[in-house]
Amino acid sequence: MKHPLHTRSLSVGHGPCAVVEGIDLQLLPGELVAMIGVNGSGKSTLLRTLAGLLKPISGTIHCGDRELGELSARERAQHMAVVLTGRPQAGLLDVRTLVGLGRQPWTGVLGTLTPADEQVVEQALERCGIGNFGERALEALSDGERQQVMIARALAQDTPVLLLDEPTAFLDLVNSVKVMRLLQRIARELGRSVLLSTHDLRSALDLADRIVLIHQGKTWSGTPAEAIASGALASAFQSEGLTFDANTGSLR
Amino acid sequence: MSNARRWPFVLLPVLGTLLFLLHLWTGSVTLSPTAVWKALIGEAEQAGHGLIVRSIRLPQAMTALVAGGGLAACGLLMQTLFRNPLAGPSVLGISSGASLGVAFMLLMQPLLNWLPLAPDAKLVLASLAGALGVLTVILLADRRIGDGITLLIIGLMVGYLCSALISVMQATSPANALKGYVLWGMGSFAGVSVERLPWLVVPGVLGIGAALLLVKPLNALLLGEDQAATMGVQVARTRRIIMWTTGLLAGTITAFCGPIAFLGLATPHVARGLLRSSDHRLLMPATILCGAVLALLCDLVARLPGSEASIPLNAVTSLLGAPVVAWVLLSGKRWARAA
Repeated sequence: MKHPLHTRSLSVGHGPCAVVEGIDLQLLPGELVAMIGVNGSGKSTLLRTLAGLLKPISGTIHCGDRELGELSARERAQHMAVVLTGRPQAGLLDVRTLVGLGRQPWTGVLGTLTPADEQVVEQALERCGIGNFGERALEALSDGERQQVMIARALAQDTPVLLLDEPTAFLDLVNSVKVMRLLQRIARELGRSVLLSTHDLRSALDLADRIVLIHQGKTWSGTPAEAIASGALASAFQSEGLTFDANTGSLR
Repeated sequence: MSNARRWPFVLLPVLGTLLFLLHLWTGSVTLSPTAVWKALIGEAEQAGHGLIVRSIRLPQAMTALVAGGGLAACGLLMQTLFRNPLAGPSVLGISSGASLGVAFMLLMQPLLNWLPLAPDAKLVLASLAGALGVLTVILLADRRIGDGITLLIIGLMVGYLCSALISVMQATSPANALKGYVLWGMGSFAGVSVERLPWLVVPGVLGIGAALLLVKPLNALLLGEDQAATMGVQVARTRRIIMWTTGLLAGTITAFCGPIAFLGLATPHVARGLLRSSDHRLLMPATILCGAVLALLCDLVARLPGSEASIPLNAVTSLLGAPVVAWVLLSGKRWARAA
């Protein structure tokens, strides 16, 4: 089966020490997968390894039928779009220009957009609900709007796979749910594979198709219902001194 | 494409052409446009006019054009690469390296007499060697660290080292050699004769061309190196190309014109202010045009048209450039952040 992204006995970490080991992860088209784990559990390390920013310690990562390491930077960017944490410093770019940067893996040497590229950019803006502020400067946006812009940029990259590192980290509840719903629609309606890391247990359980739990260097994967029923969540958080309430899906 | 202002692309070429013509008309002797035209096509009414226009004013204006555009391009390349509004060729230590080469050449002349080269050639080679020497150090450090901010600090330290070495040489050199170095250090576009002009123009145009071809990865780098890497940019390779381009431009220009202060640092801020955009597809050409215009303007002011006297070019560029940078930092944090 040609999954858009799949790993086999993957170990990730910085330097020689593995932070998370034995990761067997498959992303299906049209699926929203949420990665959950406490700070320092290795969520970001795994995500950055999948994005090609870190080298795996052992194991393999395949994009479709090709290995990640074989792909050129451009081919990788045509397969996966990534939204990293941290604010972009591009204060003097307007929203449309920034989202247009998502077309880079597809454009020529000067990055000139064809009418077809412009259309992809417009669709990405519309899809992310920011079609009416293409002219605004990035610095004039709220945190929530800025995150929508960064997602629109990734969407304009037109890739089968989207990876997002804590897309809701700096957002309030309303914006956080908005962003999660947007990502769910992108997965369902456009058939993209969306993998994100999050601390927001509640919306992960509500909206994700699958949960990847990272705990003490191992991964557990299953549907939200399985995560609750199997006690995987409960045991993961119990060791942190918290109780997971299976009825409300919340921590106490 | 974007909602950046477009009128600077009309204004800047018009201003540039006007200043270029003013350069040919004015000076210690003011010539009429007709006299300049006749001198250019070789039918000057007085032999002296032909000499003034073709051998002095034309090469000087050309030098200002290329040096201004080249240094401004360097400044923008550095500011985007290091995501730092205060980056410029001088901050990376490249100008200091070039100065060290030139200082060695001018102050330690007896040591170099055995070289069978014209003094001019030695000067250029020394400057390029200095610039590329610093660049090699920076590139080696870059391979070990791979982090923009640390690299910037190493560039600063290399700059201090070069200054210290120059001070040591100055303390032990004869007065006339010292004078030559100090004059070079004041900066001037007047030192390039017609015969030497190609040695400045060819590397200058190559460097500026390379800067224009880098606009796409530069735009991606606005979002950070990691984000750029996920957008198909080969970050390490792009970083090296940017540094070689900067070295070529800053090294050559510094050899011929001295270490020109502030043009590289301040011009990208002026161009951002005019365009209100940091889209490099527009910002890079605007910055290069702006650099050429500002260099011509500073040189015109430094020559004090109509008088026999002139003031050092670096005094003028600093008088114009320092307030621009201070103003950028004080008034518009947004422009500083935009770099």
